Amino acid sequence: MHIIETVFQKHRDKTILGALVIASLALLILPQPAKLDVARRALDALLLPVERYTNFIGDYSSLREENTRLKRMVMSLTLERERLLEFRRERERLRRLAAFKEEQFRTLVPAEVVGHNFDRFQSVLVVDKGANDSLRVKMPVFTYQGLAGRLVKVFPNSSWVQLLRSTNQPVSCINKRSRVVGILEWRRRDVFELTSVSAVEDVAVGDTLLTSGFGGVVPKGFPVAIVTKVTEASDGLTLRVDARSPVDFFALEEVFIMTDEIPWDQGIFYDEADTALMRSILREAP
Amino acid sequence: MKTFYLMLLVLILMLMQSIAADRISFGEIAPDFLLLVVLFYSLHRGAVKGAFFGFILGLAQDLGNPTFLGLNALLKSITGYLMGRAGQKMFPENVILLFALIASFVFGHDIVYLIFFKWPDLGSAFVVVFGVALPSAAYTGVVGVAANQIIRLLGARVVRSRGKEGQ
Repeated sequence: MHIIETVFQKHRDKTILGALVIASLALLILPQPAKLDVARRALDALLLPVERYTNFIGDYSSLREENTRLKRMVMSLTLERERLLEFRRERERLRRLAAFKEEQFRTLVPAEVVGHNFDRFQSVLVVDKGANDSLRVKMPVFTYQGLAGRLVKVFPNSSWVQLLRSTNQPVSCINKRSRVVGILEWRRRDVFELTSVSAVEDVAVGDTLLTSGFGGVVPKGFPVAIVTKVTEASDGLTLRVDARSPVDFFALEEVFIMTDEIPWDQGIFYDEADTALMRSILREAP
Repeated sequence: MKTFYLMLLVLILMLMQSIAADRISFGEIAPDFLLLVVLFYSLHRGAVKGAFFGFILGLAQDLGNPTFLGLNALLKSITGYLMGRAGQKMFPENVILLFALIASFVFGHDIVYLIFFKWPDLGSAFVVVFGVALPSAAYTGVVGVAANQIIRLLGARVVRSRGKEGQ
């Protein structure tokens, strides 16, 4: 060991050169695949950080341009997406309308909503069909979800539809399950109330209320509302029945107006007088 | 100052190898800037450091062409060692001596390299040695002397300006 140290001290230069030469020769005599492998590993280890850095610089220089391009693309795709969503909603709506229309055997005139007026007391739509399309006042108006209202004014090429979501727009309804009859009236926001229901009647939350057909204006069997709450009225003789219409009155874009099968000149769509009459009949009933 | 001068020279020559070597070549005859780097480094830093530097630089060069992995490392470490030893005995202040030293080391390096590279077809190696290696060695010597002079002039200017600041 001492001899080695002495030799190394004395011939330090030559020893280091010898070591380097041996290392070089060792690399030279490696088999070709091993040489390639060593070179590949060494280059990977040495150049990867450099490559990352240079790539980063290259990326950074083109970042602004790419950012602008992507922003433009995002804007374009957002608009395109909105347009497609609109198409999808319209398609779904029309599909439901078509299905609804196929189910009916009465003549339904489709009409597009071209205007509306919602206030605290009444909701009126303007549709693009009128007397020229054989429409007349009091004709019932439907959506695929159920009864929506009736025509209150008819012009040659347009009409006004008063929605159920209005005061003085009661509808005679029948409970689909228990066949209990009552008068459905709008109270506030999306709350309707089924009135004139005796305390002994069978009405439960979730029951569907259909048009009763009484009066001959609206045909029997169309959905109008779903019972949401049943409580005993303060007088102890009747039930207080809250209901909700399945129709989204604020989002109506297409409606159907029923034109046939109804003797319009004789028809009565329940109004205040009819409601009073019904109530008196119910009171007199045993 | 000597370190600054050396590092500047090394940096410039390495940049020249990647940027200018092909542009200032005459056909196959081109200066070997990497070998110049090793030679200058060894001349200023001695045999051991020169050998190490040559080994590292040669190995890096070999990684680009692993068929002869170790060949450049071997030759450049030996060249660095020998140049370092030569520099210890006599530092070439004379331009002609410097040219001769650089050219002869480059030529020797290239001869051994070609023997390895062309083995066993030494006939073609002979043609290349005198057709390409010799003029390339001379070219490298000229470039080396020029680079050395430019850097020395710049270094002297820096030293003068610092000296004035000191006064």
